[in-house]
Amino acid sequence: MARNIRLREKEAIIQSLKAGVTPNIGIQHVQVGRVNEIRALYKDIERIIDGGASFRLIIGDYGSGKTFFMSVIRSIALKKKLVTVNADLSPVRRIHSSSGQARNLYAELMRNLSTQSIPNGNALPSVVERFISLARKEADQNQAEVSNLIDKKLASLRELVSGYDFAHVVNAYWLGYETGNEELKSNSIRWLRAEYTTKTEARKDLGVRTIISDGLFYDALKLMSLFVRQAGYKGLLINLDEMVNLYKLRHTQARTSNYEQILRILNDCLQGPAEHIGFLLGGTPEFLIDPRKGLFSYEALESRLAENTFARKAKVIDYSSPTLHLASLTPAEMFILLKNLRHVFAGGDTSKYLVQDDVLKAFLEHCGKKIGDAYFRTPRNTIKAFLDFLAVLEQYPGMHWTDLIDGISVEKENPSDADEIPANNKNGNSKYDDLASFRI
Amino acid sequence: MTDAFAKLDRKIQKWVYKQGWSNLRQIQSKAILPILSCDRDLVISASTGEGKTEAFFLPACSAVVGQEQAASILYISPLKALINDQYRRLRELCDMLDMQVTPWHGDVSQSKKKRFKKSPQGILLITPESLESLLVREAGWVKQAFSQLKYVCVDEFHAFIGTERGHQLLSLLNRLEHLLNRFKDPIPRIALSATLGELDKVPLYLRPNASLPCKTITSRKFGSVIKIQIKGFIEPAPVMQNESQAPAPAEHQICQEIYRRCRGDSHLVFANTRQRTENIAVNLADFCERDSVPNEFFPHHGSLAKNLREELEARLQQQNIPTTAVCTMTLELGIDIGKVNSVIQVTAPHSVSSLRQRLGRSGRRNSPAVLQMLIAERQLDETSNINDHLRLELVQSLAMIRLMIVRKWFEPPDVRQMHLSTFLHQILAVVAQWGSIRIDQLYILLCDQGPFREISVQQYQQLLTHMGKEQLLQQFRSGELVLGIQGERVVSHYAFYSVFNTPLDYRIVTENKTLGLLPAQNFIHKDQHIVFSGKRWKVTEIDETKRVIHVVSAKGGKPPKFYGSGMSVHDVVRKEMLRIYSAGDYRIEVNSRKIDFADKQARQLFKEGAEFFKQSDLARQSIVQIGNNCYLFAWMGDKIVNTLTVILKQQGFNASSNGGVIEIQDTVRDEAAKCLIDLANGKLPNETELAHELKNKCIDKYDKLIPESLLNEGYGRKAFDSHATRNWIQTRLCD
Repeated sequence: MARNIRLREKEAIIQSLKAGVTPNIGIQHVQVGRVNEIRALYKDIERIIDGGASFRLIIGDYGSGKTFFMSVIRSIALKKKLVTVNADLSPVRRIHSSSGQARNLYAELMRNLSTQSIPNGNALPSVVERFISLARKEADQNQAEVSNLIDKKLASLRELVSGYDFAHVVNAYWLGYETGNEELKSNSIRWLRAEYTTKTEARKDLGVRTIISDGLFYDALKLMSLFVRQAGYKGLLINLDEMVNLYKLRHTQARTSNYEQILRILNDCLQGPAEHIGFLLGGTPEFLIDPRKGLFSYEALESRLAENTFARKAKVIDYSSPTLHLASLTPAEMFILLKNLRHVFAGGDTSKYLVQDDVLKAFLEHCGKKIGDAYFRTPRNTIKAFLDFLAVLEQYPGMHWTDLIDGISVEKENPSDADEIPANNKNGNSKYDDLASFRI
Repeated sequence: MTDAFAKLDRKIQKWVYKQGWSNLRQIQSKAILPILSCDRDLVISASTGEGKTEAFFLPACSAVVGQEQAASILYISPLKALINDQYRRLRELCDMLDMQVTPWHGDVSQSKKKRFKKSPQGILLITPESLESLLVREAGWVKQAFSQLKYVCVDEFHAFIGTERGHQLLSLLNRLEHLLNRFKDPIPRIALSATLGELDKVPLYLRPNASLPCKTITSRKFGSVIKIQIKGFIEPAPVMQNESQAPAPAEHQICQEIYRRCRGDSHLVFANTRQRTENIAVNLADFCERDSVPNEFFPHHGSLAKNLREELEARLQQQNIPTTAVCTMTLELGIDIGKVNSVIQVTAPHSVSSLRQRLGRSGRRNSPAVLQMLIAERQLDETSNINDHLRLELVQSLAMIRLMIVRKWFEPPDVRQMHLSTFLHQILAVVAQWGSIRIDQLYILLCDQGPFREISVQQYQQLLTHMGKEQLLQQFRSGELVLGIQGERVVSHYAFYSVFNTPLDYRIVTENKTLGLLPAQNFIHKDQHIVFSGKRWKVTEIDETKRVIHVVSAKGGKPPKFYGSGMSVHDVVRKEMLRIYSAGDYRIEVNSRKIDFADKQARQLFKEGAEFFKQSDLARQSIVQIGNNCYLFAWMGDKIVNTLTVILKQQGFNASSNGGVIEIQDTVRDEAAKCLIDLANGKLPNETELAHELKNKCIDKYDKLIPESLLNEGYGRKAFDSHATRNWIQTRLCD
């Protein structure tokens, strides 16, 4: 238990969790349980490093910690020298479209590109720089032209769709590097991030005929996975969260096209052609199993993603299946989570613990009374309240925890895409609390 | 110029001078400060041509001039043509202010829309349907584009009040405030409206949650000059038609009158039904051919091909070729066709408000509004129906004119309606707009903050459950609502964005022969006796999927000529009719002089009706016996008449209502009276129970997706009023 925690990690963890989001770094300090799942994905990462590919759907109810889990895997991948990209799908970001939404998603992924040394995103320029410096070093050793060497190193890319232009743009970056042309450098990065929206503009700035557009979403990711290998990384992990947005697409045709894209990725990953690449797709059970609008509405996907019937009969879980169902935390795991948080808060120093175990128990009991099961099923607000609780105790050492605990308010979480709406009547929104739990 | 004028932006002042206006109109001056203050809603109520548009735009533009980041004024109009018109008018002003103005509706070019999409700025002129489409499809952009929105202006607000479309509009405005996060700091709404009767109720209609105070500005100018005449015609008895000396049928006489009056100018002839519209138009065209003159009479109604209608509208808009349109209510509102010389109403109008709308179509610059009503009544004989004896159609027309002119009254919106069809539409639209929403949020948005205040939590839950069953909606395990597979289909349909539709007609069929079409609003139930094309029929079956009503011919004396549609006549109209009958006088008193607005024939007809009223002692008696039948006179609106009729039918009487008079066949007076009194003192069925008895209840666009039990509640409120009926029985029958 005596793990050391750096101040930077502590701050990042506490700030993120208080804001209700998953921390980008130090996540291993708070992760609880899910040993089998993590082990399975650890193997996936090793396979990616060895030149394989992986495809996993992370399925769990709202609040069960999909995002958190995916971040844990991401941090493991970064440690193993993979490059990671991650993004949430949304009405304007999806994996297949014809009016910019797929390009949007790609651009978002590239903005969040991270490496071990730059874990908070925006690491694309550093990856390119690293590629260039490797190339220069090699050119020095072999007394070759850097530009030629770059072409040679990227030769494998040219076999893929748009690979020629990809290589050309990387070379343009080198040219800008060599001649001190900052604009050319930033244009190259813009192109790689899919921020060009018209071909004319890209041609004018960089002399390429194509841009990374909606149709190239997956091909560009494959190019990127090859490229990061050339830059000395072990592979590329792609985290796509909030897949339920595909389910919410209003047009059957648009939805089916997106599911087709998923099928293409899945086939590529499981049948072999993809290399050094892994996909993690996070979504709710409805997204997967709804027979009319979910992935299962697409027959080819249903047969590939269906549960392992042998495992089900034997009442065990098949962790090698492309679909991983995350169970909610249990109260016992929740208790360990609070202990971890206490540890983080104390900066890893057990002598600085602000409260003893019995207080943790009392705290959980209090939450259970307030919001029922939700305190461990959707733990976000419980964690937030606990961190606030610790913060007060830390700043006012004279205070006793019993003075505080009754004043703690934990809110039940009710997800919705719509902004909250204040009621007009005198009783306020509480009048309609019962409605929130109405089932149709 | 006034002090208020000085508060306007200099450029606007300059523009006003440039127009050569010596002074702002009264409403324009009065509107400046309340609009500039930006802290209240405003209703500007004045008749056409008093400069309402400028009253809004001058101060509003003045307040937003120079704002360039996002759109600042949203102007909503029910009509595309009005938007095009405003766009032309505003361009000059906006050019001067360096402000962008963009029209946005189905017929606006993509380039204009694209420009606004790229840099939303200035004024957007839009229809409710296009706004709906933007909210559903591009809410994210709307949030950006209107982040600085300062004013929302609704033109022709009177046309929205109490309608399905009005409820959609209010819901849209509420959703917009929610999307822009402006509940705490509401966007001022300015309603431009024709003169309204019950102005005190308008603020709550403009903003149901009353989160901003509202000021009302009315023009003190006493309405413009109106010329009204009512002309009577006699429909000769059928036996005489074969004789050579027979007078022409009334419709022929009426056509001659129209031909004589209208040729050479532009007019609108309202004829209520499509059938009559066609007949009159054909007759008039024949006259033109007979006299070898160019035809200038054309029909206009809902089942006519779109290009024919548009051609006629364009012709009317040009205003230089004499054109007379013979139309149904299609030209009452809506389509911008400019003003005509006069309006002619054949047969009694549906309601005072519709009469007022129609009258508003006439009166060109500086000339009075002219209305002529042509009413035909049957020649009487010993077999004549009681309605014919009373000259009911004529007296109803007289009453409506009196109400409009003397009392300046017209039907107030029925605020107790549930608007279920539009409610369902808004549920789907909101879910589509956000992707997913919680059940409590949806209720607060639509019913607590929004306009659907008549819908209880329980009814809402009932509807949601039904929508779930029909796969219109689905619910996640987390509780969020999302569109179901059927809901997607409805929302993706190109016609989703509008909530109103031309009501479909029912075909009346007897023994495989189609008699004609009946609009769906008519009030029909099984075994009911109806009058159609001059004969009595008994309804044997109503087929809702094929929209066919099967009838067999029914016995009973001669049917009345005038029978009404059964949903629209208000209590006040019938009471006014009773007053006219009782006084034996319909004339309008102006400056202690009585003005007679009926011609000689109409006067004669009225005398006959009043005489019959007196003879039958109808001032004192509510039920009279004539032969085997008895007749119940409620002198109340259609809701009460419908309630009485259905109750009597439930009790086994052969009752049917025509023009507000309930005929009970083969019944003794006291028997019917006693039955009603017993019910009033005991258990009178409520509106929902009464609606349960009926069949064709799907009137509005999405009624077919509403569960039967809810539809009964909604329809019950539209068609019946048990409480008022009980009161009526107890005061009028129990003495």
